[in-house]
Amino acid sequence: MTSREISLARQQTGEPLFLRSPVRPWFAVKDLMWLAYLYPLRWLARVCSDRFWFGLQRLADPLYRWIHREPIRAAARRMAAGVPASPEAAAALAKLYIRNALQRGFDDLAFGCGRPDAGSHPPLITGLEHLERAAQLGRGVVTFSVHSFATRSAHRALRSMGYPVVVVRARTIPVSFGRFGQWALGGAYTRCLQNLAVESISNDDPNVTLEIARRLRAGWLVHIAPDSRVSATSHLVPFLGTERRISSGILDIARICRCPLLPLSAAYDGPRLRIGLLPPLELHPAPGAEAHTRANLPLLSAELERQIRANPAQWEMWVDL
Amino acid sequence: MAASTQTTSRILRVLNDGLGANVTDEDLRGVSRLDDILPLDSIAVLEFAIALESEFGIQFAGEQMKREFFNDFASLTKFLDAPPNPPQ
Repeated sequence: MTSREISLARQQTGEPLFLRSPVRPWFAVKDLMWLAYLYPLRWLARVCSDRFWFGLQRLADPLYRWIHREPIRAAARRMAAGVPASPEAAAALAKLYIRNALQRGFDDLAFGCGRPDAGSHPPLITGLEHLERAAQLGRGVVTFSVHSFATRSAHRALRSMGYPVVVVRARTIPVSFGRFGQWALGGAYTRCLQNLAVESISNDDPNVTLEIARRLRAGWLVHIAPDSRVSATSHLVPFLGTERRISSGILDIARICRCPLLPLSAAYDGPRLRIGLLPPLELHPAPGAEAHTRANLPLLSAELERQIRANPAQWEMWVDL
Repeated sequence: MAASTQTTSRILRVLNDGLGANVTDEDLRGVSRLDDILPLDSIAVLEFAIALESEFGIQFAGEQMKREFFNDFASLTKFLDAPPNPPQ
């Protein structure tokens, strides 16, 4: 059965198009963390001095690592197998991974409160000429990356340089929320993310692909991360030594809208932000949607794997934080 | 005003040749909503929209790029009968 047939069948049977969340506990420690993040920390970020703010970030680092000691171990195991890396190197990468997660959290708070974040500092950008050339084709540009901690800052940086950026993203509550958190904090979480992202299109909006096409025609840069698993067009592919669901919708959009697909990678490098743009994927022409997906999905997944292996500590999906 | 038979035939051609559907004249007779006979996922709707533009030599405006516009078969055929930017 093809992905389109599965998608049609799901619509006909009324089965939700998106993966169900696992059963949530009534209350999770993460609920408390999110409560602190969404309210007192946000208020603090608005009023405290820069010195206090950076001090707080340094203080939070060991606490955040202690809270996430089990995810660090799990991430290290997966990194050792997937990158691959020695156990020692994987353990160091996993610590950096958690630090990047924290930096993203503080960056988002800073941005939401008008403080400078990584995206507002001059980023180190390579390959901007590829974006310029792709934009000159006049069909809009789809950029894609894995889910990386620094991607939001990269979008904000590109927007501040004058590029009209819109992101396709899920608006689901993370599985790390307990039922209390989902009920009491879900709305604030969604609003917070909407304020933090550059403009976004929800991937569960029934008009999502038509809206993407509309933006592309108007010359927008549309960013999609195909490694989300939460997609109606996902395929199981070999990935980092195991298997993972990758969405092929991005390939359909490129085929139908004839727009270039540009790999974009974003990484924190200490306080700096690095953004890398590569030439568009050279997609193989193929007759029909299914043949096109079959021919080009390996190209897409290979680029996603390359991005993760180049910067393993930046990929946020090693474990669910 | 009812949509012309010619417009309906051209839409049928787009559905069958462009999207690989298997819809007949009979299926379309009296249909007001396309999703009653052919549920299209979001990629297929985009493919349908672009194929219609190619067939009718038009470009849908931003406000028309909605799933509902393409599912409302009666309104869609009326629109395509007299598009605002017909082919030169």
